[in-house]
Amino acid sequence: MESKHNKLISITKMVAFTSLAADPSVVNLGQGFPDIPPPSYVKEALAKAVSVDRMNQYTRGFGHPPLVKALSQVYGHVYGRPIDPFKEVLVTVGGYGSLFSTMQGLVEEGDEVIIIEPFFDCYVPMVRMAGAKPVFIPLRLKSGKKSITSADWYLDPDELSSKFTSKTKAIIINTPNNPIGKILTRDELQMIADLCIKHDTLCFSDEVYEWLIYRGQQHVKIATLPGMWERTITIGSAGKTFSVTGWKLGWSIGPQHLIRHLQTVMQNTLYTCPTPLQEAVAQGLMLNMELIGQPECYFTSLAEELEGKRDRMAAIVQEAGMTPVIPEGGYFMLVDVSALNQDLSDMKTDDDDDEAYDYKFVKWMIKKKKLAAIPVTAFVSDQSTKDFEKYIRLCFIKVILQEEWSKMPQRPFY
Amino acid sequence: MGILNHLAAQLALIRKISIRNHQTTMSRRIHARRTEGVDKNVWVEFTQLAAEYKAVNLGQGFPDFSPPQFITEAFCKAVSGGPPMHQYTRAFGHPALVQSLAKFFSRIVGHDIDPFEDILVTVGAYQALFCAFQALIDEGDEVIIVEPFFDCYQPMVVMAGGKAVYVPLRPKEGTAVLSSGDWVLSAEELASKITPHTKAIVINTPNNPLGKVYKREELQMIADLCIKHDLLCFSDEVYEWLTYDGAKHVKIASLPGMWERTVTIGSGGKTFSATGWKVGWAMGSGHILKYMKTIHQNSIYHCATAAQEAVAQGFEREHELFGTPQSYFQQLPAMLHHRREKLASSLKGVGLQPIMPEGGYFMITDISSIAVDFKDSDTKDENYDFRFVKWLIKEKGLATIPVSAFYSPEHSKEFDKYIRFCFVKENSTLDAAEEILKKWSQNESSH
Repeated sequence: MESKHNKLISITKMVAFTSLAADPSVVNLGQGFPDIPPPSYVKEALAKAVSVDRMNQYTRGFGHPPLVKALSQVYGHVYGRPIDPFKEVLVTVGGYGSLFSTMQGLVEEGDEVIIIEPFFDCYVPMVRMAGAKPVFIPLRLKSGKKSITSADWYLDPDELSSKFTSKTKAIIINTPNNPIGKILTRDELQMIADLCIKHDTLCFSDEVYEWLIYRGQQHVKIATLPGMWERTITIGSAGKTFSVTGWKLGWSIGPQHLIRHLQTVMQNTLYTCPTPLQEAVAQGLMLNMELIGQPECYFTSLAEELEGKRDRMAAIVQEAGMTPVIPEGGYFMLVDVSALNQDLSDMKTDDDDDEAYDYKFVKWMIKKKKLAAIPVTAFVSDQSTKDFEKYIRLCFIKVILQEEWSKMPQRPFY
Repeated sequence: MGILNHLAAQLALIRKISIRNHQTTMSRRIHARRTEGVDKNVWVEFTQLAAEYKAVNLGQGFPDFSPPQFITEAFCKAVSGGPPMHQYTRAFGHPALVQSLAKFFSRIVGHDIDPFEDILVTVGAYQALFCAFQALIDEGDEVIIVEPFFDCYQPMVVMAGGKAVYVPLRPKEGTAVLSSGDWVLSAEELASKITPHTKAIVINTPNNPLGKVYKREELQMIADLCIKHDLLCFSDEVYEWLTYDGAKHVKIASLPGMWERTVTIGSGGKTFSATGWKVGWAMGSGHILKYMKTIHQNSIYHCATAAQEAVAQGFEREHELFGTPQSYFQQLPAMLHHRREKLASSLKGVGLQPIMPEGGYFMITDISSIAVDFKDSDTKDENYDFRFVKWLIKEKGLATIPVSAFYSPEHSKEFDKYIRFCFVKENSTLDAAEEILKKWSQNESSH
């Protein structure tokens, strides 16, 4: 009955944990989306858009003109180069939709795609759905150091180089990284760029958390390195930029000779994205474009707000006897649970005898401590499970991590 | 010092040149082969042209009037709802929406629809079609498409690795062809197209561009073949509420033996005159839908929350008012009936013969009686109707769509003397179109 695609993973691991954590008495720091309200001006812009007749009908397939023009302005400024709104930008259904259009447009049977572990879990099924083979390279922990920040994870240059073959079509990078929060440094990006150029491969750069950069850190776009614009697709997200994940709008930016293939995929998959949402995002971008450098600019103010939550989360985790990995960016934090030495032998697993420690730990934590997280081995391939199974992922873009945390009656882990 | 600076400048220049060499396209083929042959798109081409020439737009199928107030209010209410309205909802469909769709359509289909198993919400009906083809069609499968067809079916079949097999609707012999009801499918011709490789048949009722509303007997004929040959049926019913002259929309999934093999596709955009919201759905037996869910989960994953909430509220309201004069599903076809008449009379007034559609947004008309000298040598290799439509946009400021775009490459030259008008427009737009047609006709007759 079904087609070849159904050899794909049909239930993601996230879906399975969502039902466990749905119990209202559980504090859910697993799901990767905000429960803080979005800025009021984007909601107002959306309501206003719906009241304009034309905004309720189809717009330009590859992106609503006001939105692609706003993206061209904002990113033209960020990249330091002019970006053609009609040829070098594609608006998609979330960053997810950009990843899909990129894979379907540029990757096929016989190709290999390098994926850095840990990775956002959709990369693997998307590579497979495009008929290609994922090739993994793990981020490794600097030895002799008790991991305290995401900067302690690195890519081994020789190991990375060994993964490039004549079949390599592309490498996917995610910076800031989900789940670790690592921001790839300029040197690391240069190393990746050198390999892409040497082996004539593409680079798919997932930068949905690009604005969530904490003090002292800098986000560098690999597409701005010499020789990289012409071989890179850079992916962004309105949902992550404006805390509106439920709007599902994202974009791909790159050279025309690559973007046009993503546009072909778009016109044969869903044709166009919702108009009023695009109009509202365009307005949000233009408003913040004016405010760049000022404290009210959401591109920086959200990061400031989240840094406080990040630090509060880290303190809570330490108080509970676990070790946080302080992220340089993004809104997730890895937590090393091994110091607790928790006995999980009574966590009976119904389907998988060989279930990784972090899966068992999260189930135990949900049941016994009323706190939900995501096991980090959900983000790695089987061969790297042993290196990551002492970590769980917490999301800190949550209301509960406000200043009064210590006064709240509902305090999990106590 | 001077020498060092000079050397540094040379090095910089050499580096720049070597980078420039990398700036040309990659030496290997970049694109995936699945994008070959599906890169042309009639909508992209003609929408751009209509905008460029600021034409009176009766081309692309969207209303130029506003959606009903109750639905825009529902959207605004959703927007001012709490933070959950702006964050991810259930991937396969916002609970409020799938529940209201299940409740609404169960009584129409005559089957208890499970909101969580039997429904997938998608980004427009377009994405539902994509999921159906990707999930259910494999390399080597044949898919029967009834011509004329909404143009995306063909590239979607190709992208899934399948092979499209066409069977045309034909004007009935011996009658003057005045209505879309006069175009019929031959049972023998359809049966002859079925082979051991046939996986599915795609039907669209009411049909775009012709406007045909398949009668129960016609659907029964198709159903009999689907059951006999164990085929799937993809039924695109986005215009299901728009029928005229008493024509009744029948759901093929409601016929005996068909629920278990049919994917029925619907559209919030066409239902509530809000095409820009891009909320659609696929409905069918869970054992088929589950494969479409896998595709959805690995391509888009979630659809926008607030728009789904608004469409859910729309269906709740229509559930209460079903069959009454206040129902939008009564009011919209009644309003469009008048627009249909208005456009038809404008066309007849200048000697054109439209084919009256029994349903949908569109009307097609034969243009073979008009003689035009295309001075445009750029388009000389294109089908006659493509050239005509472009000329009409550029020279007369009126946008339509060439009907051969809705035919297979094999048959498009046989049907290149029709153009398609959308009449789901304000009276003022139809008046402007009439002005253009009148003036044009007067110019012709004065020569």
